[in-house]
Amino acid sequence: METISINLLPKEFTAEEIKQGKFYKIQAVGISVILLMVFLSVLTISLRIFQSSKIRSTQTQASEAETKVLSYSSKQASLLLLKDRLSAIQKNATTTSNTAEMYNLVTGLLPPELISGAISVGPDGGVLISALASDSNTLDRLFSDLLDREKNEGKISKVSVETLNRGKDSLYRVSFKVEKK
Amino acid sequence: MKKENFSKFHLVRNPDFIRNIDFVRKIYSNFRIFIFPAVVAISSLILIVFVISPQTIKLFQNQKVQGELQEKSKFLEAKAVVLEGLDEDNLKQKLGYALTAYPQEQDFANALGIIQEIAGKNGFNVTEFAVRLGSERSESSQKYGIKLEASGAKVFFPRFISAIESSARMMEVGNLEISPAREGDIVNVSVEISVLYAPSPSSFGGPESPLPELSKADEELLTELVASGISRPAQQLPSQPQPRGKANPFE
Repeated sequence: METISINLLPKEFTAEEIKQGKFYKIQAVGISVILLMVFLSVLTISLRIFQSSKIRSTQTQASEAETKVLSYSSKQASLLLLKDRLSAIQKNATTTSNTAEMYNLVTGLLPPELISGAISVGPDGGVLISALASDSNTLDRLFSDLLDREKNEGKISKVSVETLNRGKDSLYRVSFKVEKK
Repeated sequence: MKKENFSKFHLVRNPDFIRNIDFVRKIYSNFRIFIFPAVVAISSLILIVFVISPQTIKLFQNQKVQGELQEKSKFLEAKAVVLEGLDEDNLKQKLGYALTAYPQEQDFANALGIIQEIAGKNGFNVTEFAVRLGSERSESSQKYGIKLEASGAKVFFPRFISAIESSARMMEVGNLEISPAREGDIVNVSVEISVLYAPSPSSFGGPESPLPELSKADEELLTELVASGISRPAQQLPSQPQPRGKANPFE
């Protein structure tokens, strides 16, 4: 059996009810938002409090470790000084002075027939030699060996003859200067 | 108390007040659909601006600080463990060798002894020596000079020079002059030797400075120094400079 329902309430009442329903929805959303904001505020504040206590404990740990390290400061100083010295010694051990390097190089290139006299080597690696040679071939060989790039390892830039004499004894007296590259 | 009750009662019964309340209620019921969201929005905004946002920013900032602190703490703890494990006597002994090879100050007597020993081992007889006071400074080291007059076999001279340069005590050959002596293969030599030294570093680092490690090459070098016979009791570490005089000179 079908029933017929007739709304006898005035139209304003229906409109008011719709308006009321809409407001309840807005109210629910608004309260949710407020609750969410309050929750977030409480959460961030709690996290900050927790974090602060953790930072304090880490700080205490760090300062304890620092005190411990400071108690070994003499060991640390010894170790640092030792490392500093060993590095400097190693660096120096790998380098040879210009003087020793050039002396060894030039004397190694002198022909055996050449009788060397005074040799002087400066800190810049410049070598001044006075020598006696019995013949001109020895002198030729001397200068060609000194200027040979393979033999002088590319370390000699210039050889200049300062004096060259030949005496009554047929010996050549030569004095020459070798410059380092 | 009585007065207060009276005023409240008076206020509630005041027709103006009742009219005002009714007016507010009417306004609210008419515009509540706008007023409520506005109140919620303003409250949320206040919470965001004054609580959530600053606390979150601080949280992230402190996260970084906490990370740094944790790293520092871990580093310091590890450093303390390493330092604790170091044998101080052994370290001082090693330092003694290193400081003999490359001292902190001019050590004329030690250097002369070493040079004379090298000369003797290579067949050179030292006839004269002179110490040049004052020092030359280079990038990291300082030097003083020793001029040596000696005579010996010419064939041993290169070995003599090499021995000086490769000596455990750090030295460099500067000027050298060789002139043949009257007898046979003997030469008279004049050698200027630069003896190196370097003052100790002004600072040995704070607790947070990293600790250097002795490499394999360092250990090998130490073994060589020990084998070279260079030895001396461990030197005192230079003490940190202490302030002298009064804190306030006008007192």
